[in-house]
Amino acid sequence: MTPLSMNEVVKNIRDLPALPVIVMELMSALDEEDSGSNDLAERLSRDQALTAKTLRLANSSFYGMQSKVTSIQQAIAILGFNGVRSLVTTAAILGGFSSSAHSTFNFSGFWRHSVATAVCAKNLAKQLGLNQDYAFMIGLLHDIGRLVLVTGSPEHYAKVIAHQQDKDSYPIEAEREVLGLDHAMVGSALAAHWKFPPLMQKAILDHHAPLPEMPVSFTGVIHAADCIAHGLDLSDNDNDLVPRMSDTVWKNLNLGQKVLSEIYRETETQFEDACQILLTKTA
Amino acid sequence: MSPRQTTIDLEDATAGMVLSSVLLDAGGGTLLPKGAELTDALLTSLRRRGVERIAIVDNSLSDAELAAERERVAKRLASLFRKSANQNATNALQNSILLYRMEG
Repeated sequence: MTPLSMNEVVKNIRDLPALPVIVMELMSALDEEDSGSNDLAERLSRDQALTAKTLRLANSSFYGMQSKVTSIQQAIAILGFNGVRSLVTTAAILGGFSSSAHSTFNFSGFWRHSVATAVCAKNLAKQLGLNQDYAFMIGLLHDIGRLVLVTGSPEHYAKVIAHQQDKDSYPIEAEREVLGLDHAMVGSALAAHWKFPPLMQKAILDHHAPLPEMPVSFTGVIHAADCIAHGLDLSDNDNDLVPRMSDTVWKNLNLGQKVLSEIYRETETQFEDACQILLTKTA
Repeated sequence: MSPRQTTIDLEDATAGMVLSSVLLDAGGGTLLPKGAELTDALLTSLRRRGVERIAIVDNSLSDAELAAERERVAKRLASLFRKSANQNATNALQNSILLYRMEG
């Protein structure tokens, strides 16, 4: 065991590049009314790269737009304030982490799995009548703690990967055995540091061990989306392993084969498009 | 994607081809149901609506090829779910993905 203390992790979190101020403000005000639409458009237009990526996202197939969106104002009119907020945040977070390197960690597989979970969570949320934008965002960030560990403590994480491959264990078990903590705890700490709303912190913290909740909420949705994304083999990893699916969440989701097939199909269809927009370095 | 379907560009589609899944417009409304047979008139209409790709039934696989494909899919799922023995919900997920892969 090569333990890593939460204090060290928190120090690594503080060393991460700061999110753009506009994103911090948007996220901390997640529960507020759509009061600042004009303000948002006005300030976002000063960040050209973020604006461009947000508009590309708005025009991608998984947002199902009828007409082409060419300005942030138009995007707000069509997708709503919350929709645009989720797009901006997504674009900003992906930008902040993209240029990392590690000898044995598969970054491309990591992001592909994150995007697959986000797209699947959005489709599950649609089915359950939950906010699809939140589900997408949490899905994208559910494993973000792993990125903190890999970039902040690369040597520690190399040992986790070696241990995991050696024992063919679940990655989260390897983290606990080698480090004494796991990516869910770390991700939740990062979400707290970024002042993301409590429901996001909780869903990230509990995505491997959701507490029973009826009806199923974001934690259960992210848990299921994570398992489904692995099951659909979208991570581009020969040794991928599907995590244990909670019996309670599966039962409470109560989805028949027809609906499940539809969710799988939509997820696979939207996945490649989403990867192309979210994971391409240009723009 | 199940073994008996394939996705093609609309410009490669010809009359007589059969849709392997429901075709939705950008807003999620149904344009054509699963199993619809394409005609020249329908193709023109889809082009006008800006549809670019469609999923069609592909009967080009022989029964032997299909059996081999099914075995490949089942084997890959068994690998992905290799630690799921006696996990009820995880097994149910594996079965539902297998069913999905074999549809069509």
